[in-house]
Amino acid sequence: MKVASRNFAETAALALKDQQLQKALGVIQEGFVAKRAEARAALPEFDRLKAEGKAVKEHALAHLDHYLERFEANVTASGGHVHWARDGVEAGAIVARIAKEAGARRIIKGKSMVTEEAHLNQSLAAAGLEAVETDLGDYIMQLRDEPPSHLIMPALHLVRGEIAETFREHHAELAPDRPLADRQALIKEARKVLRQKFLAADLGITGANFLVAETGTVVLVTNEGNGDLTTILPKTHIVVTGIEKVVPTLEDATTLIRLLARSATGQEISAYTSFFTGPKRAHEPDGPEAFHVVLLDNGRSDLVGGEFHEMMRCIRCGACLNHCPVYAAVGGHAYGSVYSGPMGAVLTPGFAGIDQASPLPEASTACGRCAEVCPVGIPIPDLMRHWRTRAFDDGLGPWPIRFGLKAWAAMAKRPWLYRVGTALAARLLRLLSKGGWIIRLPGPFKAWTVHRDMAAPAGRTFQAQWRARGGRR
Amino acid sequence: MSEAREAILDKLRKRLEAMPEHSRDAASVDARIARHAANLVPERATVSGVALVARFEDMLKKAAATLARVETRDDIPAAVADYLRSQNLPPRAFVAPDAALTGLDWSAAPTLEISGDDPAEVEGVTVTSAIAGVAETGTVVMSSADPSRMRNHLLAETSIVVLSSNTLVGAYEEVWARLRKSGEGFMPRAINLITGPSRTGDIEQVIELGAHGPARVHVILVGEAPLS
Repeated sequence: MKVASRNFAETAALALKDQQLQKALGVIQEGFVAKRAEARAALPEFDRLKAEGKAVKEHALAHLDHYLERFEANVTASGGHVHWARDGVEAGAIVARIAKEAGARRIIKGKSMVTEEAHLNQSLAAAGLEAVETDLGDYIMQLRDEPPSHLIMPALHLVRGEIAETFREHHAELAPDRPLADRQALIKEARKVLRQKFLAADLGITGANFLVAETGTVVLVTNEGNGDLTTILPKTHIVVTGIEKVVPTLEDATTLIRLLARSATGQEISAYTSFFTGPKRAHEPDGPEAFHVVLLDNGRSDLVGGEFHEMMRCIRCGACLNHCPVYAAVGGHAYGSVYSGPMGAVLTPGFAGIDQASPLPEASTACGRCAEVCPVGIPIPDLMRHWRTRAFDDGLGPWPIRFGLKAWAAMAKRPWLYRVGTALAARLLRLLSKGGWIIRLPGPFKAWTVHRDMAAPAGRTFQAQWRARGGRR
Repeated sequence: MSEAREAILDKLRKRLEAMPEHSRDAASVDARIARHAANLVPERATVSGVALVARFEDMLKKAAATLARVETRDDIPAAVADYLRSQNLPPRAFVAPDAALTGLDWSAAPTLEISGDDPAEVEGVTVTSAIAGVAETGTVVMSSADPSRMRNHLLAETSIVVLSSNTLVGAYEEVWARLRKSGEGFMPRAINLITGPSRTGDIEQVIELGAHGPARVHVILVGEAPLS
């Protein structure tokens, strides 16, 4: 996976100064966060479902090889084909080959983060094939040649005026003076333009939310209806998805479906939850003649069974992004990866290597909200800390931080040095304080006090006070 | 690409062997599939009779759809005409090529066209049937094995869905149980759970109805409340 995450400090600083972006990000609290809380409150069993969802994913992952084989066998039994790809390049080659063999010229796509991760559109373009994104947010991103900035709201960073400009530029066949001031006008225009693409398409590509081993079924969750049109009208349907999505049964998928929309958008369920099993049967009136599933590894098997195993439970709801103070401040693009926010800070180093993404696990206040709202109980802050440890061990990160950590470790390992050092620091800080507060720290520590005051230390260290009160060691 | 398949599965097996939960006992994993036991079903989905219909209607309205109830299938054409009038829509609709719908006496009702094989023709208003309704979230279920065709629902601006009250269930799990009765290979090409109109929040996080699918979904529920 190609990422541009090493410059997070610079891209985040730019994002903080981007007024349009800040305006767009400001809506997250009243939108996603409030709606998720309402949906959770409306379902008394929500927390118990979370525990069950976690258990389902844990079980499925512990037997992933087995369930993948069962899934494959049942896709084949229902008339479909399963392909395996070790990385994005292999996935791209498989899709391009199927498209060429089917003689497909007009390709449409439903929303899929895995195809973004695999850079599928670039692979197809290299093979002379163009795929049109049909999710409204993804379509806008494709016109603007930008990556998505949120797992489920790709154009979250834009305001409607910017989208109107994009449409005027790219829909040149429409009247230049048409009104595009309100959201409905923009949505109607996209519907009209994309409807023609749907009707003309001969190949549809979607992702998957869950795979069901029991029946060889692919579950797809959408709100716009584009995913379903992509799977109904073209003659060929290709699903590109990650190997971690498989669950044992329809009942297991159902439990996760109850968690997904509530965590993502605060809906009870998304408008469309569809279960695809094989191509259309002889007696069926609708559906594709050919059905393919491409199972992508791309680093997942390296995470299974190790320190980051729990991240493989992720169902891509986006709740951790929506509740993250860092994401809310800088948005998705600053992360330089298709996966942003807390989940992206764990997945990106896993898929691209920690040397490519070491600033991301640092982009955290350790507040723990991500772990709290995760519908499958992933301890995201712990996993971010594991990556920080690895980054340190690999010699990554800026020298002042590495030096500081080493100095701290040296002090913490020598009790006498620690006592002397902290006693000295407490006295120094006391000298800088006025009325119990420090309002300006000197030198490199200045940034700490720009937006807040620091409480002055008591003057003597805890250890000193403990001894003075006759405490036992 | 079978080389990739073996490489991925081999790596997974090696890594999973280190995990305490991993059992090499394929039989127990297959037995779990064969049991396909339900997990926790929310209490709100465990209603029956009149309460089941009430819950279905309540949840469907929360999803921004509307509902009308009629006693018999003969009342469907008038209910369609009533709905179109109430929405100030012209009395014209596409009806799915489903004998259970096209066979009704539509003489008193809108101008009808039977939906054919050209999806480009389908727009405006369509009338289709669902195979089941789920009260838990006010969801209607369509099947690719049914002549109604999901595309007739999706391509319309306004979609009218006919649902028999005796196909109403509380939870999604009951839909799976019904499908399983047809034995091996019980899943058709597509099962679609549809909850309210098509929508998007992609512009400024404000939900707008009518993205690629219908902006209005109206359910005509036929018959009395099921007894159990």
